[in-house]
Formats: sequence, structure tokens, C-alpha cells
Amino acid sequence: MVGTKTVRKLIKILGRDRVVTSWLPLNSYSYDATILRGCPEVVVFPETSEQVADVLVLANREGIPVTPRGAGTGLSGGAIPHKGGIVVVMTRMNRILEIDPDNWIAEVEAGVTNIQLQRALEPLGYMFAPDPGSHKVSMIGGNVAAGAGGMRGLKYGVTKDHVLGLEVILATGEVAVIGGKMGRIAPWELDLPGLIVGSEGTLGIVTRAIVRLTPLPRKVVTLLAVYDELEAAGNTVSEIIAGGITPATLELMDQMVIKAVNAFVRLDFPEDSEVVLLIEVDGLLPSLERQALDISRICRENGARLVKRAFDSQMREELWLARRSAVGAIARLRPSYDLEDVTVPRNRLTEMFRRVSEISQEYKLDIGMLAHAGDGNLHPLILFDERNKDELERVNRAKQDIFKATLELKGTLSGEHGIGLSKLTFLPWLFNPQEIGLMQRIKSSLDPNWILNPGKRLPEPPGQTAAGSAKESLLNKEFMVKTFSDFESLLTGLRDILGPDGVVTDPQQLTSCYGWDTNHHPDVAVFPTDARQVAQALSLASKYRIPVLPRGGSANFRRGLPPYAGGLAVVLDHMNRILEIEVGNHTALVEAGVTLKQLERVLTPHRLFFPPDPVNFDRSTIGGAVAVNAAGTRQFKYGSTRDSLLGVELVTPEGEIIKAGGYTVKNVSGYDITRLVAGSWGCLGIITRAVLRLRPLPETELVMLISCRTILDAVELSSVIVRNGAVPTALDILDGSVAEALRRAGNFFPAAGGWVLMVIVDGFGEDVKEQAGVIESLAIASHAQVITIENRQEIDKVRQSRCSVSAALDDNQGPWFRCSAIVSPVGTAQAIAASRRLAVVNGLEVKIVAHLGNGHIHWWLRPGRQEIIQQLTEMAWSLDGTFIIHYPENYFYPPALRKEESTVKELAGRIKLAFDPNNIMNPGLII
Amino acid sequence: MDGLLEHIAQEVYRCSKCGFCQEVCPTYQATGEEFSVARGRNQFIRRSLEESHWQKELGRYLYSCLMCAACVKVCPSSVRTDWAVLYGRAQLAARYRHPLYKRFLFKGILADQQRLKVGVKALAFYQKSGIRWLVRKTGLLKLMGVLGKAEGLLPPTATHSFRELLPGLKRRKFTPAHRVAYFLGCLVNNFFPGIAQATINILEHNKCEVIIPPAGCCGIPHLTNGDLEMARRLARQNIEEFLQLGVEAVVVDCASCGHALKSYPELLSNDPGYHSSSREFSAMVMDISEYMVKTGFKKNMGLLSTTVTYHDPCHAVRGMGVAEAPRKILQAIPGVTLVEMDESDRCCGGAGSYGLTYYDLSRRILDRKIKNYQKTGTSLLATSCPSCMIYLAHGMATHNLNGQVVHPVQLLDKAYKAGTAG
Repeated sequence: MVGTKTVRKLIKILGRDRVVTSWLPLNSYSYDATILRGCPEVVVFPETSEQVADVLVLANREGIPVTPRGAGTGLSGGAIPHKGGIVVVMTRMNRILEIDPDNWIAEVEAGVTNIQLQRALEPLGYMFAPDPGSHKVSMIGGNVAAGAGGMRGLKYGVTKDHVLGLEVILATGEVAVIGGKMGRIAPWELDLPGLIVGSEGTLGIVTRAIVRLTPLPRKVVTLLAVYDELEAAGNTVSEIIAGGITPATLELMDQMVIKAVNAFVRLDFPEDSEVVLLIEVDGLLPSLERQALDISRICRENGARLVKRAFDSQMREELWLARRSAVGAIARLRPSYDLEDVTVPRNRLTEMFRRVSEISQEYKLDIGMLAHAGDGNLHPLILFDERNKDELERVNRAKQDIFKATLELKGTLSGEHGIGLSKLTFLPWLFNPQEIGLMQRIKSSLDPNWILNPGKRLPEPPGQTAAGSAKESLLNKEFMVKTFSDFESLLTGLRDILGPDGVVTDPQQLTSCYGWDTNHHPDVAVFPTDARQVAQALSLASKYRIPVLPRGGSANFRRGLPPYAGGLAVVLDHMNRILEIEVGNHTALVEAGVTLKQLERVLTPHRLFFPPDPVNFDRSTIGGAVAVNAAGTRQFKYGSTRDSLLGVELVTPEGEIIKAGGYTVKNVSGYDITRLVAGSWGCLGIITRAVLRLRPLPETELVMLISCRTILDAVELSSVIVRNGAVPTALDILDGSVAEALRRAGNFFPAAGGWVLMVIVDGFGEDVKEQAGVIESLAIASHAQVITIENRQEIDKVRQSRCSVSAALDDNQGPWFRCSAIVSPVGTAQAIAASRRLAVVNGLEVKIVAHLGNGHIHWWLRPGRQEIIQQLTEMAWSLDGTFIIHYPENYFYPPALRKEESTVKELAGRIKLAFDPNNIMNPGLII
Repeated sequence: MDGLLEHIAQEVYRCSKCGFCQEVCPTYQATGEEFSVARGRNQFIRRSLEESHWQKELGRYLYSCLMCAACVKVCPSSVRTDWAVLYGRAQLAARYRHPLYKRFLFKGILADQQRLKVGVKALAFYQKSGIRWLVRKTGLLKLMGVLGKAEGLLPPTATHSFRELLPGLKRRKFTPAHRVAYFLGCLVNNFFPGIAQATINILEHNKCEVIIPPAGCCGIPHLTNGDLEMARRLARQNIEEFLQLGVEAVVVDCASCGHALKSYPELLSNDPGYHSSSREFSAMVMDISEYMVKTGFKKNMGLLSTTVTYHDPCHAVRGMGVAEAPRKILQAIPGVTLVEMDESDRCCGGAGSYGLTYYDLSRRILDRKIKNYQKTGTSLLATSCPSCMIYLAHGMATHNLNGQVVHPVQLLDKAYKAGTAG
């Protein structure tokens, strides 16, 4: 394996003092926080990305396994070099490179510890939301690799929600910069950062990360509820979630854990309590009291023996120290523990507690319970002594039973610790061979020789050899189905699968429903009714190598796609059942053809909603929304479809039906195919089902339309609003003429000469009221006029009108050219002003709408001239941004994307081929 | 086998490998190496225990521990890595001989006050005669390796040790309200007689009769180098010596000595003959600042007008639990402004002879401490351990800083003098 020659080369790359080869120190890299072991042959301490890349080039050439390692606090054996080889220790790449509070981002090296970043951010009033139990020592690189969660994941999400961009060194030594500072990823890119997050170092070594900052909450209320029964606590959790309150944290500890912790931190509650819940609500002041009271009431109603409130910050800190030390303190009771990480839907929590305690009795094992209960994420702690072989065997059997119970309850193997080595053998319980096969192909596409952390997270395919790279040329290959007879037999095959009514070939119908114009329409359209039909149709399409164009409500393809001639349109209209709504878990399982409108109708009575509300809301389907990663007016607060998607069922062009993700908010079992599919524009496969994350309908919502004189006034006002601690759902700006057009179309917009700032606020009544008051006084102070709309129907109307700008601008005086850019929030004003100047100088008409919160700018230009587009593109790039052209019917400009497009595209191409080896899915569209 | 050691060895089985010690371990913070952190050291020991095999090379990783015990405090399972490391060192000491200079130092010099005196005289001769000049000029230092780098570390020895001065010392006459024994440690005696003088002055100023018995070494150098037998011998001697005095407290002005004396019950736990006397003795041991605060020291001080920050010696803050008292003393002095430094309780890197054997690593730890000192902008750096003082002064010198390193008793003494003079 690692010979002396290789060691010499490593020394040449890194220097003698950064390469360790002697036996004792090597042994220090044989463990992590689990009981697993495996000794490396050499350990290296790189200090630059180039060194990491050089090490990987060497390892790849010589076929040496490489295990990346951060702080070594992992709980699934991910950092254990069980195959020997090289351990790459990232501790010395520990610089914070940039903190940009104005744009809410920070860039750090992988070896920066979580707490190091938190401490740097705190004085500025920000935090990095992921806060795993080990946050005082674990590193951002490790957090990213593991997809770390934490205590406040319930409200603030997990690592994947806060990573905007990464520098990743691939197995081949290529340095890939994916994602970016602004807007995470362009609308036409695969979510590559999303794939890397949680990939446990099997796809690349993360060397840098650009992360999103979150404002520190204004105020926190910490509650402690003590129970005599585990189930009562479980019920409390379900009821709090179902009641529409989203605490920042909802942690559970049982008696055994309390006892262990109590010996370390003196806690002020009875040691004989069966179970305690540690609950924290944070946010704006006005409603906090009410939330705290509501929670206390729910606790008592469910049988809490005692509910108390942390009276000062010191008590709060002690409670948290106790919670965070729980795992480490368990070693006081027995020498070894097995910490599991199973996650179940939140309404199954109580059931799962019951199962675990049965298992504990059956195998005569002490199993402590620690849980991020609000996420359904359980950490059963099985205590034992690894020197006792009989006990060890019982532990293994108990563990298996816990997994079985979890999967029966529609849960997942790991919520935040990862699969690593410890759960690898159980992966086939969760995924079928096709699903594992797909993940293996993804791995091969980025790491052809399987040198990166091999044998972890994914079983190795038998006789693994270099794969994937040879197929790349396919991306540019011509398609078959050229002859008439081929086409006829394809049609026959399709009719066999779908019945004669399920196949349409009439060119007129194809043009009007699924085409751009008479020259650009599919050759044939099919209307499958279930995933199996989709799979069969795709297999056939693969066989004939005919391009496949998935279609939902056809709400977006004109906006985003270049016109395409020929191919097989797979229309999902007929797959439109809402299969299941779990009110207690805030999830819905729906078929791809369900429209957003249809879903809304069903959800509203449950006081739930699905946030994305894109243009063409009435027509948009879930499948389409996922495919284009749709977003709408609520994006600033709730993100895009990707952020509200928990799982998908995807039919690959090979005819495999793949299930990815699941019913839990925390889920790191398997590569994050769900995120990859969101925003993939149908180029990876056909989405047939989706599991959606729903949110409780806000108690109150209101819209404020503020007329500002200049763009600078508007931008200044909006930044004050944000700095004031409010997170509006929308913070949009419309130029006066757009507002005027909307007003003429029958909306509430004021007739203002300058700009109209549209602020939408939602949440608890008193919070919204306070925010509105603050915003109004800020507006008045800057001499702006305010119209406040509180009526439900009127709000919906405004919301809709915001989505119908194109219609309102349609004045029969020639078409508008549509384009957008995503720039930094602080760069927005600059970009808007510059684009206006550009238009004036060139004698163009321009209309502008922008989302100030996230730096999205939309332009309507008339006439759309190539050189103007070029200048706008360059301007967006100069602001580190991305430029997007929307295809109107008569303008065919090549799409201009972000600058470093080529690497990203190349990577995306490799991943596409893992899904779609014949490249038939929307070929050439985004990849 | 030694009962105490057996007991300590069990510590490592409580390490759950959570890695929380990384946050505070100074050697890990400086290197980022798993073999330089508490968890790593515990695993070395556990493995050696399980395999009943103690490799000589292990010494390198066990002696790189500063024994600062910062890890013990943050460890959720309270694994006493400092004692575990000590156990490992004892295992190694029983199997392999220490390098010659160490054997000479511990067995030959430090074990006996008389021989120590001779050793210090030799050092003084080296420092003051032309030899040091010669060694420095001829490049001999470079040949001496690490020891050469650390050569400038030791401060100039005092012309006369404090014990030599004792017979001629002018003692104040007063009706004592208290009666205490003063444990005069080796470093203070030989390098900082001024501190000993200050300690006695402030005690006497507060109407304490001070008895200064002929104490032996506290045993910490032997203990930390795995020589438990010698440490125990010294412990028994000291207990016998001090218990017969019938004083109300044994006052120390060296945190390391204090920590060692406080550890006697544990050290002698397998010696039934000393079961109660060691407890009685260690209960009497008290840091000078703490004794002052406890007995309510007099506040008739003069103005000093200076700024000061306080560095917590590991053996004070974690060894004896002393953190408040020295600060209270500094704050009580009129005109003195105490500015807290970041990470005041983080080890300075001196750790006894550590600065000699791991010069480069300890320098990195020291640099962090000096940086934190610089941020305070104070002119004085106070600390209550002579070993830290030596090392911090070395840091000041190598960073070309003008700041002065002082012991709180020196400032208090000065303030009392300013008070009576005015």
C-alpha cells in the first residue's frame, strides 16, 4: 500500500514535519468518538488546498485510500481509516477568511471550529445556525461532511440549509468551487453543495466553505419540563409541533442521562425525574411570552410534574452545558456506549420511545434516551462494556431491532451522525439495490477509483474499477430515432404500456400544449398514471435513445427552456393524487402532477401551507416546482422548493424507481439525491412523487406598500428593516411604472412616481403588529407613504399581482425581453441603478422588480438587444453574481451564466451521466 | 502493584473519546495533533494497559503533556488525564531510565536541599563567570540542541538564597494574632528571595507569626517525572516536619508547591500510616493570597498607580482552586487597575522543566499567552507561581516587551510600605 517511495513523495509535497509515519502517533488516528478502530499508514497535515490536491493526485494515481479527518468527533466511524492508507488531517487549515455581515455570509477554511466561527460572529450579532453537540471542537469541514445538525435545527435547519458554497478537492485532485456567495446556486445549476454536504468525505475533501449567517435571536426563553413518563413527554412534543409553535429547540433527556450529567453539572431538578424536556423559544419579543405560556400549558396538560423557566443566562448556560455534555458524561456509568441516531416522523415519537424501552427490556440492556425531540431525532444510548463479548452481541441485536422499528415507523437510519462504518450494513434495509447502485454511480462519477473514504457510507460495488469517465463524450452525442420505422415501433411500445389514449402524436395538440411553436414541439406525448408506467416508458425511450421532456403544468418551460424540437414529452397531469397528509409531522406525500393550488386547498383547513408560490401558481405542479426549484414571494423567509422538500420518488431513464429522502427533516442516510433533483430541470429523471415539508399557517399576515422617492431611499429603508431584527416573508421593490401598471390592472398599488417597496410580514399577531409599527415609523421618518393591507383576500390579491407583472406590462406595443440577475443583497441597489443608466443611455424601456432580501433582480427590457444583455451580464458578474435570460418566444440568445460555469457544468455533466448514462433527459438543457 | 496507580489507571476507561478536551488542551491548540491532546494521551495509556506493553517512545507523547489539567475541567466524564499521564510516566520510569541530566537533576540535586544549594551555585557560576559568554559566543549553544535554545530561560540566580539570608533577617516584633508556617519552595528560595521576603512582610504586617521550618522539596518534579517513591519520601518528610509545629496554616507562595502539598493524601493513599496526617496537613495548606483574604488583610496601603493583569497558574486555579483571592488582593491596592486578559487560566507553557524539554512547542503556547497579555495593555503581569514567572519573563524578554512580571505579594508588600512611608 503506502510504500517508502510514496512517503517520500508526500514529504516532498508537504514537508517533513507535516507527514507522520511512526507507529505511536499513527495510532492516534485510529479512532473517533465511536468504539471502532482502524490504523492509517501515514497521516498528513496539509496547510493549503494545493497540498490537499497534490496528496489526492498522488493517492489517486497509486490507488491509496484517503480518509479526511477534522476533529475526530464523529459518531459513525466516518474518520476511521479502516483500510489503512492516508489520513488527511484538516486541523491546520483553520483561518476565517471573510466575514461579511452585510451580505450575511462568512468564508472559512475547513479546520475552523464551529465555536471559533460562532465567537467571531457573536459580537456582530450573528450566528452560524448549525450547532452540533460537539460544536466547541468539531470543525466546519466535518460539519459539512457529516451534514451536522444540532440543538436548534428544529427552527433554524441543519448544515445543508446554511452552506452556500464550497471549495472541494476531488479525488482526481481537481479543485472544484461550487455554489457561491450569492444566491447559493444559479437557477440552472445542480445543487452540488447540497450533494457534498453529508457525503462523509466520500466525494471530495472540503477545504473551504461559504456559509450563511443568521441574526442572533433578540430574546430567548428557556423552559424545563419534568415528567414521570417518557410517553407524556413524547406527546407534549407532538402537540407543540402540531399547535403551530416552532421552538428553537426541543430536547429530551431521560433519567439515565440526567444522572450521568448531574455528576458533571449540578442541575437544579430532581434526579428521580423520569424524563425532562428542555425547550427554548426565541425571536421577537411580543409573542415570546405567549408562546412560553402556551408551551407550559401543553406541558402541564400532558402531565408534566414541573415546568420551570430559566431565570437568568447563567442558568440557561448550565442547562445547555448539561445537555451538550450528555454523551460524554455517559461514560461515567459504563465504559462503552453505542449512540444511535435514528429519526422518525414527529408524530411517531411516542411510539418509538415505547419500542426502544421494549428492546431495552428484551435484551437486558440499559438504554438511555437523549433526543432532539422536535425533529424526531432520537439518540438512544446503549450502555455496555466492550470487553464483555456477550453484552456486545446483545448490543448488536438491540441495535438491529431499533433500526427495524425505526424503518417500520417510516423513519430513517441517521438524522445527523451519518452512516459511516457503523451503520453501513444496515443501508440495504433502507435502500433497494437500484438506489444503492445509483449512489455508487454518483460516487464513481466523482471518484472513479474509489479512493476517498472507501467502504463508508456506501457499500463498495464488487470488483470496483474505474468507471464513469469513459462515458463523458455521450453528452454531445447525436440521438437515434432517426428513421420512421424506429419511431413507429417506439409508438407501438408506448401504446402497449400506456394504452392508446395515453399516447398523443397529433402535432397541433403537441404544439399548443407542450411546444414552443410549430417548429419546436415534441414528436409524441405520453400520459402515465403511475411510476411503473413512467419507468417502462423511460426504459423504452432509453432503448430508442429518444430525448425525454418531462412536463408538469407547463408553467415554466417557456420561461426557462430553450426551444426544443422533437422528443418524447412525458406529461404527469394524470398523476395528481394527494396521497397522505401527516398533520402531526407537517408533511405531505403527493404525486408530481398535483398542482400547488390543489394542495393549498387541501392544506388550508389543517392550518398548514407549502411555502413556494411561484408565478403561475394555479398551473404549477409539485413535480414542476421541484424540477425548477420554484420560489415566490415568500422566498426571503421560507426559501425555495428545495428548502421545503424532504423526499422524492424519481424514475431514472434506466427505468429504475428511486426513493430518496424521507419523512423527517433531519436525514443524512444516503447521498442527498432529493436536493440534487430539486432544480435539476428534469435532466436527471422524472419526478413522480414528493414528500413535502409543510409549515404552520402564520397567525397573521400583512402587506405594506411603501412609496419611496428614490431607489436609494428604498434600499436604505429595507436594510434598516432587516437590521431591526424582522425577517419579512418578502422585501420586494417595484419601479413606479410597474406599480402603476399593476394599479391599472386593478390592484392596490399606489400611484407613485419613484419606487414601491413591498414588505410582507407574517407570524404571531403581536409580532406582526410590532414589526408593522416599526416599519411604518421608519418609513414615515424617511418621508415615505405607507399603505397597509390586512385583509386576507386583499393580501392574496397583492401577492398574485406581484406574480402577474408580465401580464400587466403587456400593452400590445411589442414584446418585453425578460432577464434576471442574482447579486449580493448590498449590491442590489448598485445593480439596479446601473441597469437604469444603461437603459437610458441606449434608449431602452426598462421595468424593474427586485427582491431586496436575496438580491434577485428582474428586468423587462424593450427592445432586448444583444449588447445590452452582454453589459448586464458583465455587471452581474462584477458583483459576484449570476445572470439569467428567460426565453420569450422570439428571442434566442445563448444563456449567459456565472463565470466559473465550466467546472460546475463539467461536474454536473458527470453526475447527470450517473443518473442518465444515455443522456436522454432534457439533453443539452442545463447540462 | 501500587494501589494508587491501579486506581488512576481506571481513569482512562472513562474516556468516551468525545474529544471535548480539544477546546482547552494547549498542546492540541498549538499543534492540531491527536497525539498531543488529552484524549490521545488517554488512548495511549489505555492501549498500553490493554497490551501490557509500554513503549519507550511513548515518553515523547506523555511528557509533552503540560499537566495543566484544563482537560479535566471540561471533561464530561471528569477523566483526570493529568493523573493518568502521571501513571503512564511512572510506568515508563519503572522500565526505562530517564536521560542522564534528568536523573542528575531529580535524584542528585532536587532531592536534597544541600545538594540543590551546590547546584544553584554552579548555575550562578555559569551565569556570572565568563563561561556563559564563552558558550554563547562559540556557538556551543547550537550544538546543545533544544537545551541550547532554552539556555536563556533561567533567570539569574540570587547571590544568596533566601535560606542563607534567613539567620540575618530582621524580624518584626509584635503580639501575634495568628501563627503560620511558611513553606519556602526551591524556586522562590533560589531565584526569588524577594518574594519570600514579601510574603513574610505581608504576613507580619497582618500580625502573623511566621515560622520557616527547613522544608524539603514539595516533590512535584519527582511526581511529574514518574518517580512516585521519591515524591512520597519527600511528602512524608514534609508532613512530619510541619505537623509538629502546631500552626494554624501552612502558607505557600508557589502554586506548584501548594498543589503538590494538597495532593499528599492521594499520593500517600496506599500508606495507612499517613492516612489521617496527610489529610490534616493538606487541609492546612493555603495559598498566601487566599490566606490573606480569609483572614481579612489590612487595607492601610499607599497608592501604587499602575495597571496589572493576572495570569492564573494551572496549579493555582485548577490545582488548588485559587482564582478569586489574588485578584481581590490586586484590586484592594489603591491606584491599581486590574484588567482581565483573555484565556487567563490557560497554561503559559512553562510547566516546570517543560520549557526546557519541549522548547519549541512551549514557545508557541507562551506566544499565545504573551499576545493575550499584550491585548490588555497593562504594565504589570501578576501571577502566583515562580515557575510561571520565570517563563513569562522569558516571554517578555523574547518579545521585547517592557512589562514586568510580579507576584501579588510583592505588590501588596510594596503598597503596605507606601502606606507606612506616607
